[in-house]
Amino acid sequence: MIRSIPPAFIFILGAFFIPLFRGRAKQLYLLFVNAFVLIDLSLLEAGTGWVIQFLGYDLIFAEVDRLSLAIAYIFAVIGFLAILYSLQNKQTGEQMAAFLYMGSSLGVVFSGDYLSLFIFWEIMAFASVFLIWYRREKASLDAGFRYLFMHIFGGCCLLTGILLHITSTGSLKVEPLTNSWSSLFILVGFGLNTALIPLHTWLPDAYPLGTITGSVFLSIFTTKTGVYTLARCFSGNEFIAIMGGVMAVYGVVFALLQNDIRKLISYHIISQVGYMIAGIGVGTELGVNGGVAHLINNLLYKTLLFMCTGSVIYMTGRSKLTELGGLAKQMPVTCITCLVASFSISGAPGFNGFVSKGMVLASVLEVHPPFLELLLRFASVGTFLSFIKLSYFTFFEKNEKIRAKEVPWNMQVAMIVIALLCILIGMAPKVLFHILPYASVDYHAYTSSHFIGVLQLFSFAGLVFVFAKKTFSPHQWIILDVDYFYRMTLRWVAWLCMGPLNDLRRRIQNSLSRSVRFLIYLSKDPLSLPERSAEYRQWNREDEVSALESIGGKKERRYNENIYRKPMGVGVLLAILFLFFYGIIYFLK
Amino acid sequence: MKEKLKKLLILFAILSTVAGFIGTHDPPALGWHSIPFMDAVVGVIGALVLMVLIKGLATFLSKKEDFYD
Amino acid sequence: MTASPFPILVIVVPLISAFLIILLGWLKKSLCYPFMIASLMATVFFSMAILRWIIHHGTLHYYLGNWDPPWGIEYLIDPLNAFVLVIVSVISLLIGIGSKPMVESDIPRKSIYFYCLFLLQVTGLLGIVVTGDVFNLYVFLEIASLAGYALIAIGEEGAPFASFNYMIYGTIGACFYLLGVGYLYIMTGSLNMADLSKLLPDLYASKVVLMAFAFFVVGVAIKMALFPLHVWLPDAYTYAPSSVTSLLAPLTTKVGAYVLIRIMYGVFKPNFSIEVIPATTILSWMAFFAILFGCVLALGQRDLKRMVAYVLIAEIGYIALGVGLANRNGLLGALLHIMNDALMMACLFLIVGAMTYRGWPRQMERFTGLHRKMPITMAAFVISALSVIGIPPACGFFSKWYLVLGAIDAEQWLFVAVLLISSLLNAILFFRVIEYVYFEPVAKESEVKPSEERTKFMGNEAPLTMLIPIILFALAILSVGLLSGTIISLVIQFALPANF
Repeated sequence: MIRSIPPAFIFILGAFFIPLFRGRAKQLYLLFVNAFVLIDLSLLEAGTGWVIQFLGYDLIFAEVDRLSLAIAYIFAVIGFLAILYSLQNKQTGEQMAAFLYMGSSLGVVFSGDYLSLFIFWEIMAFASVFLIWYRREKASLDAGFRYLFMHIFGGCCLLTGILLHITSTGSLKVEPLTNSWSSLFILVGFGLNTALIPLHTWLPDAYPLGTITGSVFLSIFTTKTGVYTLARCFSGNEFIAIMGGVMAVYGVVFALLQNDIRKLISYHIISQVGYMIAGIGVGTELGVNGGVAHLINNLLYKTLLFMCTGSVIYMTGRSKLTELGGLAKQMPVTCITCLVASFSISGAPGFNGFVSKGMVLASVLEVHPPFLELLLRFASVGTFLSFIKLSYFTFFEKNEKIRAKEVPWNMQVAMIVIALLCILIGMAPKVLFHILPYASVDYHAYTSSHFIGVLQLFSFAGLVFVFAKKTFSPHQWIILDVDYFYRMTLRWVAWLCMGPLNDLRRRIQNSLSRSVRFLIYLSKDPLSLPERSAEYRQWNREDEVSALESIGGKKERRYNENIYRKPMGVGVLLAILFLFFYGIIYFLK
Repeated sequence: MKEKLKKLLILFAILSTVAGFIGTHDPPALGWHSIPFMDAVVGVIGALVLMVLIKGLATFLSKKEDFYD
Repeated sequence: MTASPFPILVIVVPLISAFLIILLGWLKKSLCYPFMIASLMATVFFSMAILRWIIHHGTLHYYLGNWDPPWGIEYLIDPLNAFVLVIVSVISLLIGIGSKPMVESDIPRKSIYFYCLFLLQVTGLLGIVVTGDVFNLYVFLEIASLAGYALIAIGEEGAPFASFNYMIYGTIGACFYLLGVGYLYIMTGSLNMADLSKLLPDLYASKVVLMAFAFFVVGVAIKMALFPLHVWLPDAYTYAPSSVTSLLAPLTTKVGAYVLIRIMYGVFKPNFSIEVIPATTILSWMAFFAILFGCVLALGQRDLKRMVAYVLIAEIGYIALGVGLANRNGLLGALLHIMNDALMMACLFLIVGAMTYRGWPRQMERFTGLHRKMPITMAAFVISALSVIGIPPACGFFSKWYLVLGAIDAEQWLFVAVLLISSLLNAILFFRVIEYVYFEPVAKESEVKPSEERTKFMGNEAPLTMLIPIILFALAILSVGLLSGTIISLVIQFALPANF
């Protein structure tokens, strides 16, 4: 029996007490809750615990094994640093949302059954959207809506999959899935959070538009929880492995085209997640270890990148590469940590990315056709190039117009700590290997061929960049992605509903009400019908509209219910018709 | 700045190619791994391919910033 | 065997109180409100006692005037009745508490009559639920309807007309119901539900009985506002005063659903509704369109109250879908949803009432800054919105869970799709409002100044008598959700009609 509480509850309950604190006390409280979670994690024993009976099913809130622990640890650690980074944030609502978000991610990680997983999954979606909305700009509000829409869609697919799974297998336990309709829906549900193509567009759409501190949180939890669930249920699935390769390349190509710094690293999330699930898709011990190791490392440098770019935006107010430059001397800490992160993400030796990328590549080699390995290596090239682009154009390119200072101390400390961790793991990978899912890690990171190979890759690719700088420079544009299809289609559908369909309704209603009036006339004085019908046709039209408009009298611009209101006779007619048809059906039987 | 970077990169390029010939190798897992400077080749070709790709995509995917509004 | 007097007390107390209030009002006006609350509390007490009795002892029979059935009127209470009874009485109490501010401010001179009508309405609803006699049900149906028409007509501009429309439509519905009762009486000579269910199976081939069923279903569907017979609902509920809508919206339609279940699965055996005539199929398709129609039309609304009225139509669709699926999971979902939806709608309309009371317009675009002026009310709104969308642990999720399971069991994939699509549509609807309330940058010129005299107590937040019921409803939504398992195992699974 587990003695300690599922960490999810600590965060979720903690969220509700945040409004009670102010100022320094609040900052200490936030850090304290997270520290408490870390302690709690270290006390969790492996096994299944916290089983609650509900609706005839077993809800398992604490399914603890090496996989979930590994991910929970990194979540808690990086969460602590993210909170440190965001200490200066005054908006209580945003901090509550962040806690709910962190708590529910931990809840997903430790769920042993689909129902509790789904509950936490939905809370995650709902809490995270506030991190985008708190930016309060029109673009952010709209993007938050699209984000919410897509995530609830994903949630519905997941629910469908879960319910189908229950009806076919009767069990709610989270375990590897076989091919069937239910797994397809579940895959879509998990896949949307993991940003599989083509369900990925919410990520580059919404992450750049969140608040400075909010985006840091966002980048940590949603996608990585998705990766965790894929590791649990779809490990060893070939589709996942190939999708990983596709995502790696897709992300990188789009990243190279971007102008907004946070959008660039958002696309990189897609690329890095591709690496993770390529490893998981391979399914071997090395593969899963590699995927999880990459997840851990990625969390470190990706968060660092979001923090650095967030700092840049915070101090300069600008987020476009075309408008940035020359910050190296003005924001040295940010610049250096960004460089550390860039080297880590590219996989330079001495930094943590080198280790995990190597593991993933090695595992892919064992099992799959060479095409996948080629894709991943190709993506590496692109990663390196895009980070040269990012670092150069943000910090080194000449720009006279910008003046900026370094960020507040808490943000600096957070960034420096993560940078140090990246270097630490890069130099001494045993630290990382200690917590990976499969305990025996038979991998040597610093083989000379790998080391040399990476150096060769970088130097030659770098040369191409330098000589062809013009191609890689940023431009003032946006790049269309798959969401073009959704947004245009939905706009068209909305127009269809508002315009033509409403018109159709109005026409049907008008003709129905005309027929009712006709019947009324008929019943009043049948003998004079021929005369009256001639008159009737003439004044019918104006009379009807003015009669309707004189009711109520409220005129609104877009939807005037008085125009669309049905006269009572229509309702009665419908009732009688309905009865009539109902009766007919019976008599036919 | 650019000059220094260029010189540094050329230095590394030469060093690593040389190292590729000298250093010990893992047994080549696949056919092409046995070429000593395979990674360099991948680096160059990859970068070039990427250049072509992004130029190509940019021509028909890039729009003004207020495209959706 | 008259084991307990509660079934009759639960009717008699509010009925007599309704008339006593008029007397009391003549003597001393300020006593009316406390008196009404007292009698509502009494009904809650009685209904809880009945529920407790049912859980321990099973079905409760009460013979009016000690005449044995089937000649006398019998009040038969089984878990289904008791369940709905508790819902009706508790919600009436809370809404009754919350109605005071609006009454005192809008119709101070006629407040006595309002309270009287309120109690009559509650009597009618309780009577419908408690009775075991089809004609007695008609009597209470009329009492409830007439009180309802009068209550709705009190509202703003457009209300009398909407009420008039409702009256015509509702009377047609009631007449259809009466015709159904009449036909059954002709064929069987009995008005007692339990008796009818024994006598009818022999007569299923009779055309008269078939027509009677048709009349029943259409009549009840009108009362329940099932598509396409819902036309009266948006207008009536939008123009009525908010405290009236908060009472009628959750209860009238749910009681209608209860009557439908009784008739389709109680009086007429389930196999009649499923096999002899495809009533359930028709019903589920009507429900399908109700859900779509309600959600889609709600999208076009700018007025919050009207939007919630259309969402109500969609919610009724859910219940009807559950009934129409005719399998265990579907019916569990329908019954659970009766309870959940009653809570959600009561909460939502009460919130709208609180906003109107503080002078806020009902147009969504003008909600900027609302979350700072009425934070608790808006938090309750968010919780109700979560429930409507179906996000756990709010109660709406659990009824949707069962409904989808039911649809899967019946292999009706279109229904599964429509249930999930409606979640999506509801999400858009409510989050749009939430966005306006919480995040629109506050524009200086268009900021609404709430009327002065109403902002004295507790600043701008809803008045206490409205705030407490709102908070209780919001808490109930969450706790009922978490307790769904207990509720199902204690009450609902016994409330399922036989053979499910």
